[in-house]
Amino acid sequence: MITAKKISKEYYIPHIRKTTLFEKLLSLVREHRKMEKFYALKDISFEVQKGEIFGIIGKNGSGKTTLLKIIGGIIPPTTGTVTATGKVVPFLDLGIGFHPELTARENIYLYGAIMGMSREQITREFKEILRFAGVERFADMKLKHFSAGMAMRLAFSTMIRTAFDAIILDEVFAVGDGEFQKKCMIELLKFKKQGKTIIITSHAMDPIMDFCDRAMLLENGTVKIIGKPRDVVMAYDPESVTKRRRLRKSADSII
Amino acid sequence: MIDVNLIKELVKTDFKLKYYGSFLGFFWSLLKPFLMLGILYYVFTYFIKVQIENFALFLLLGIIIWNYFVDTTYDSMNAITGKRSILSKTKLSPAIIVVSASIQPEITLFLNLVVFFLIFFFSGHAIGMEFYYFIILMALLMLTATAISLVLIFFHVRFMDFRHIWDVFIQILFWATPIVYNLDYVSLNFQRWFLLNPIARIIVDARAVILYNTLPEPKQMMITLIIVFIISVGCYYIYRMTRNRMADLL
Repeated sequence: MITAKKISKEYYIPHIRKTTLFEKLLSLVREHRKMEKFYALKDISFEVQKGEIFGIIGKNGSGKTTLLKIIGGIIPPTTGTVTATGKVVPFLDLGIGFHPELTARENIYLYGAIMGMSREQITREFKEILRFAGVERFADMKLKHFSAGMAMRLAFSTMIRTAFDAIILDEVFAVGDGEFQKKCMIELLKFKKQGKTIIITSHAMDPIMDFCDRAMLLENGTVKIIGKPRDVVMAYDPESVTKRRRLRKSADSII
Repeated sequence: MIDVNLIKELVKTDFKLKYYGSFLGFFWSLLKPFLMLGILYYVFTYFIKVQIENFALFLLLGIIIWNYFVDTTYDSMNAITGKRSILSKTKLSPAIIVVSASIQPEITLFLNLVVFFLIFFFSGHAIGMEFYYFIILMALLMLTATAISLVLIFFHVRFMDFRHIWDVFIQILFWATPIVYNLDYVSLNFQRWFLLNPIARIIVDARAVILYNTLPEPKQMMITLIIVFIISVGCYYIYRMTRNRMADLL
């Protein structure tokens, strides 16, 4: 279970950003410039139950990634607390640390290590990782010769071999072709069955409505609504809900 | 908790990528202190006539220790920049990156010392019972360099021009450390200030042990230990304080 209580994240935006020590020293001599406070997140509270798939949606810049980073323990909140039972693993990007000059094998071992897997564990899962990604024949090929889709698939299949109690997935539905996406979804549902908690963000509304138990809409760093995925999507993008309804109706009428 | 497997993988990858396609690459990095020795030895024996016994070995030992310190600081800063995307998206701590970045300079230090001792023994010298203190000194050196790097990376991430400032500081520190000269060249009033610098202390003591087969006084040994201890604990504390801020800046 993951509980977020009154999380806020403030950033200070200087009117002129001082990124060098030289500028900083100059500014100490000159008059003090005012900094503008900016809330990336404000008073966010929610709970995700064990074995639940929880979706987070919202426009670009609404604070989704910042929130995921805070839940994943990568950055601290300014105020508020996050408590989680078990190991929470954030996957904010696919193929972090992947290097084009290394072979698929070397990349898997490196990526696995970054994700906290032991060498034996990776060796045990190695074949399965390649199989799931559908790149068995290319284990010793350099990653730069892989297509973008193949590399992403490899990243995803390495990632899901990590041991975790809860995962945080940021925009990973865009991986691979339709068939691979389906495989990913089946895998996520398996995790759910094992009682693992999953938090996902997406700009595609269909997976949110298909797979999430509950969803949350963020707007300008605040919670707009938490509830049933369909209601939440309705508040964000009513078009996609009606489109779905139309499609279903036409499908029914054909039958 | 230190993830040994992760450090191993990071070191292996860096090594592969850095020296990929240039087998000689690693040997160049090993050669660096000897090239520096060549230049400094020439200048300080033929132009500025320094009167120090075994000047080549004296100089080489100082340069090897100094180079290790400089390499660790730069490699740590480079590693943080190079691994920015990993640090900003996973729970990896910057300390792990610094520790793994310091392994390569440590290997270079070790191999350089092996070459140093080969030359040392071939020129008819011998080490005495005091050698154990040299090993302690090397451990203290590694601790100091890694601890200082833990603080430098924050400034490196916070200020884009910190590298240039560090370049200048390193130049100043090079001449303020008895590497090409002996502590006797420094007036007695200044010596105490010189000896607040842990790298200077380590170099002076290492030479005493290896070249002159003498141990420093116990009191001086204690002071070295205390200085290294204060720097390590202080740097670690600063690292802990700046860590969250660093996560925001990455």
